[in-house]
Amino acid sequence: MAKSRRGRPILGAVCGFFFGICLSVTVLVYAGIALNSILYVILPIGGLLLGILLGLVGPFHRKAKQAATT
Amino acid sequence: MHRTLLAVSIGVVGVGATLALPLAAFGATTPPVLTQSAITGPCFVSGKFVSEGDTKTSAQYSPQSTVLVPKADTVDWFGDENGAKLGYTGPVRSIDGAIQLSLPLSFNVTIWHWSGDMSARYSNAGQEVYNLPSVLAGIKLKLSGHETENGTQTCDGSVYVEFKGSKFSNPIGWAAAAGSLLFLGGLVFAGFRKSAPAYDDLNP
Repeated sequence: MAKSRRGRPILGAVCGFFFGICLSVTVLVYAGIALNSILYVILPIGGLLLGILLGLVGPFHRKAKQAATT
Repeated sequence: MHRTLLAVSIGVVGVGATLALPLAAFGATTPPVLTQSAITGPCFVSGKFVSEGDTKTSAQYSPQSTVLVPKADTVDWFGDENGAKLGYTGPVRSIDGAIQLSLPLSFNVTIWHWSGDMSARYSNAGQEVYNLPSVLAGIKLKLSGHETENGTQTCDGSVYVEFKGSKFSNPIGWAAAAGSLLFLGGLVFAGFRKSAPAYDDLNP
């Protein structure tokens, strides 16, 4: 029987931070929000925190395979 | 890049190097506001985009206005203080001013600075040629500026600037969108629980 553990908080932090940065640039180019907006600080920090949280909580999981019985 | 921004600031803002504060606005994406100038104080700036044949003045815009700027053009700019004609000289005073690009959290990057201890000029004019890269297409920036004379602020103002061109022609936008999807995938993957080895695997 497999024991479920938490996710990957470090990977989540890195991916969340860069997701926030990329999203900031996307918003900058396509949404027409000026560069001085506080949004461009909030998104990377928010992504970082979200990534850590997701990694710690681990809300997603794969279906456990049924162990074969003999 | 620095030179490009400098040229844009000249074109957009039309600065007088020894003169008063220059924050002009050329080519609007929002309707001009006639009741309020982009500049607070006795300063005035105008600029003519030679290729477009369009002349705009600081009096036509408010600090909330967004000015649409061509990616490449030549700008004939003029600025004065208290309506001084070009070539007019007055009492000598020390001046100090700058044009700045506003960033989040009130950080500012100075893209042009001028100063002088014995300036007698109260008006100035010039011509600048600029050519911007496509990575700036669609990006909106806030430019602000100020000038002090004998240590007292004489003029200040700001305006938003957006560069003409299709947003979808900006390669940075596509790269950022692709990066967003990629890192979103990583974010979701990080949220999956790791499975420990089964008890039977460790204790055969």
